[in-house]
Amino acid sequence: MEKPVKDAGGGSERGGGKVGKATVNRRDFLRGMAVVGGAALLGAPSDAEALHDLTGWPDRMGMLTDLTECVGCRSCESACNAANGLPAPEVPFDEKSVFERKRRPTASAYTVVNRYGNPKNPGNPIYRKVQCNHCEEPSCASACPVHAYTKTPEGPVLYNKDVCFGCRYCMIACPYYAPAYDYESALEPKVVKCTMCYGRIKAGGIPACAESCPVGAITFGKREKLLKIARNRIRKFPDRYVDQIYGEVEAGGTSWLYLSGVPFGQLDYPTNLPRRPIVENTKGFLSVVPLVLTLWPALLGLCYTANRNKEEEG
Amino acid sequence: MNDNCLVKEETYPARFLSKLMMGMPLSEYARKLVTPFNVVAVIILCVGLPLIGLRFWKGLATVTHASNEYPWSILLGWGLFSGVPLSATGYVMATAVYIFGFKKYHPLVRLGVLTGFMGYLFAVIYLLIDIGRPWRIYYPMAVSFGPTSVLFLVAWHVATYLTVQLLEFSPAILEWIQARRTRKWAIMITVGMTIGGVILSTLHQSALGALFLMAPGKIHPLWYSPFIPVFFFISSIYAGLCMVIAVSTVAARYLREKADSPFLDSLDELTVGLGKAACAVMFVYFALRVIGVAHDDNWALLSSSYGFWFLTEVLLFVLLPCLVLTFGVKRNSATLVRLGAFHAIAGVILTRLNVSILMFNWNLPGHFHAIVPPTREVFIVLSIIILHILIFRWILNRMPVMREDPAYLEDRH
Amino acid sequence: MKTKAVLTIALCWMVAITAAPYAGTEAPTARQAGSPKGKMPGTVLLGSLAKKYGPVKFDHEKHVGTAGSCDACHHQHGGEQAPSCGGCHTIDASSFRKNVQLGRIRPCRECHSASYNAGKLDRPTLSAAYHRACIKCHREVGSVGTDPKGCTEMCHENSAQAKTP
Repeated sequence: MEKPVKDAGGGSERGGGKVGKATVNRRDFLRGMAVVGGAALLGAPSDAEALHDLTGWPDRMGMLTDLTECVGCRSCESACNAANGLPAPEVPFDEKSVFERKRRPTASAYTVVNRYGNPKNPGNPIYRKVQCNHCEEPSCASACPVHAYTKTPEGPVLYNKDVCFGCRYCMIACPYYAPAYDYESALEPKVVKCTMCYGRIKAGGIPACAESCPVGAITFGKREKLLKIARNRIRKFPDRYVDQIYGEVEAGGTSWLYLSGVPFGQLDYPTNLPRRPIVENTKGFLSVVPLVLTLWPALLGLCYTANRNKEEEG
Repeated sequence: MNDNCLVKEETYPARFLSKLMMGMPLSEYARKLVTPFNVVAVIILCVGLPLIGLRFWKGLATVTHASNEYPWSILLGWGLFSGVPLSATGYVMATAVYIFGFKKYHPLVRLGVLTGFMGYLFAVIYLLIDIGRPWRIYYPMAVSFGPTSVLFLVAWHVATYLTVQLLEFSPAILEWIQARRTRKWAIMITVGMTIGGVILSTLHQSALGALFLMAPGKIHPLWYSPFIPVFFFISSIYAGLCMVIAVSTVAARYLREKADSPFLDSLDELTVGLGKAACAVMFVYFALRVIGVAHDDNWALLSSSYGFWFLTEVLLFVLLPCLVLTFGVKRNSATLVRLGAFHAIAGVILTRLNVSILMFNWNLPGHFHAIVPPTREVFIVLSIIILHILIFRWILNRMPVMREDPAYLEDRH
Repeated sequence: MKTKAVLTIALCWMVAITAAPYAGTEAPTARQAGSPKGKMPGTVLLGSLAKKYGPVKFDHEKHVGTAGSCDACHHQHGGEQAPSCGGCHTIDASSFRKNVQLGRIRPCRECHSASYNAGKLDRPTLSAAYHRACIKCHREVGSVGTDPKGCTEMCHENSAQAKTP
């Protein structure tokens, strides 16, 4: 006995049922469920879930890279290769022809340097060092289903190959295209990326690339301090630097900070990143999970009961 | 008494073999196996199965182009991202019949549940081939938890949902092996399993979309939207409905003798009914996709070449099949509805491939070259599809899926 | 110590001649007129960091001619990286120009530490300071495509090579 009801928005007892008996109009139920379900799914990501800026670990370290100083000698690549026991490269580190095409970190190279034309001074090309940026709120860590990534209090983001099962979701999530995967190995494939020389840092040293840079383009130090130094440099030499510290706020901020003489977009830096950590995009969805786990049984159970009831009535 | 025991022991191996070969002597069974489809299937398997072996022996680089920029290829794009919405048949049919009370669709429930179960099972198989260390596939369940990850949710759900679907299908298996008491128990838990199945499906169908929320700048803006989870969930509903239409059409055509008359006689009417539901959902989905463009004010992008591709997907592969279905329903033509259903399925596959592979990192140089799969990978995927079909057919040939087992008619489920 | 006196005289000359803030082009002509060039260091061995490479044989005399002014490398006056005046002078308006507290050009290693100094992060290490000073003009040393020679061909001797006679 379906009684059409005009205000069937969330229809339950208000529906065309008899007073005193929990009979329900099937149409109302489906409609009501759709509304609730839709609302739950669209899940209002409330401010309560919004992450605050990373405020703990004030002594976490960073790496300030001044792209106006880098001369493209690739000593950092060489030092990184030696410090991490990486395989010898196919092309030696003093070979400059590698700059003819843009490279990216690979399963055997944690970092690479790329060359770009310099519109301000065509004789002096700009060089950019590429590696994992050790984000403050790493997308890889949020994406990993087995918690294979850890943001350490010292700053570096570390990868644990002992739990990784190779889903490569971290590679999908990383906004800087940093992780590389060792597809060649059948039994021990793993993600490969810069470690910010965590072992050396813990032992009181500094990362190999910073130590080896002959012109001191990379400065290792406390991130907060490096930001002050960077702002100071920009203030003192406004014609030398673009007024932006790349990595200060991008996707929640990174440990690796960059200063440049030309806009970062010209150097293949991603410029469409939000200020908030990317993991915040999924918080709205994940918060829906307990809602569905609670609401669906109730709604569907009610639906089932309503229908059985209907059948019994004939 | 003694005689009965003796008879049982004597004939048990024979009974088992007889069940496997559907009551035929071996020679006749072997002869019946040689069909054109089977011959082609075996040829493909002869190429593909060794390639799968190669993958495990020499690493993923030998069979895929998966690179650091494009970590996922069609093994996942087809096997997981397309396979899962097409396996939504289980929860859609079970919910329609057991929860919403659309009893007349009962003949299609088992087929839907079986399609769904097989789809998820093979999604796991594709995963086992694609992930770097498949022997660790259980790690998110037991060894190390990453609960901030949407993929963690997907892993748990696929594992749980496989179990749920197996339990939902178990009455058919139990009828086949004539385990009456166990079957009774299996039926009792059906409603619970169905509700559990819907909950799990809602979450993981949308979770497969939510995965890409972690890559906002890396998917073309016409496909990226904060509403991707909703798009994936809603499209899985009509994907399931259309898949039931498609599978029942093919099964009724090629395995006619395995279906009973309630199934065959009502199939056209049920097809139109399912088509009605599917086109309603597709209209909603089409509106949602339009909202997706409007929400981020991406209208200007529609005039680009990617915009053209987007319009192709949404107009030619969502709106058009929707209209075909509507037309078919209005004319009460099961044939038109079937046509629309196959078309809609193609659209679901297209949209999943677009989001997960084709439009991923669209802005990197060498994009198109990088997303074309190598022949080896294509053969691996084809082989698994063949295996899927063969196993599906094996089950349909033997178990009461499209028919009711006469021994259980008084206790039908 | 003789070097000290010579360098002091050179510095005074520089102060006297250069009236305005750093204006490189005029200084060489003025200096060449009565420059104590002959008493400045000839070849300097920059060896405080001789680990991987042998010390660099630096021809100071040649560079004085091409540098333009002392503070092209010894950035103690004017220029971008000059320390504050009070670092070397006592500030006394009447005798500012002539009153130089430390009457000599300070060697690089006095301000630039040889190893990483967490307290002075904004100051390049000694090696970095050397390289920046050299590469400022010898851009081709680090620049690629124009000079393919490696570190040992341009400036350094490889430590192994240095040991062999």
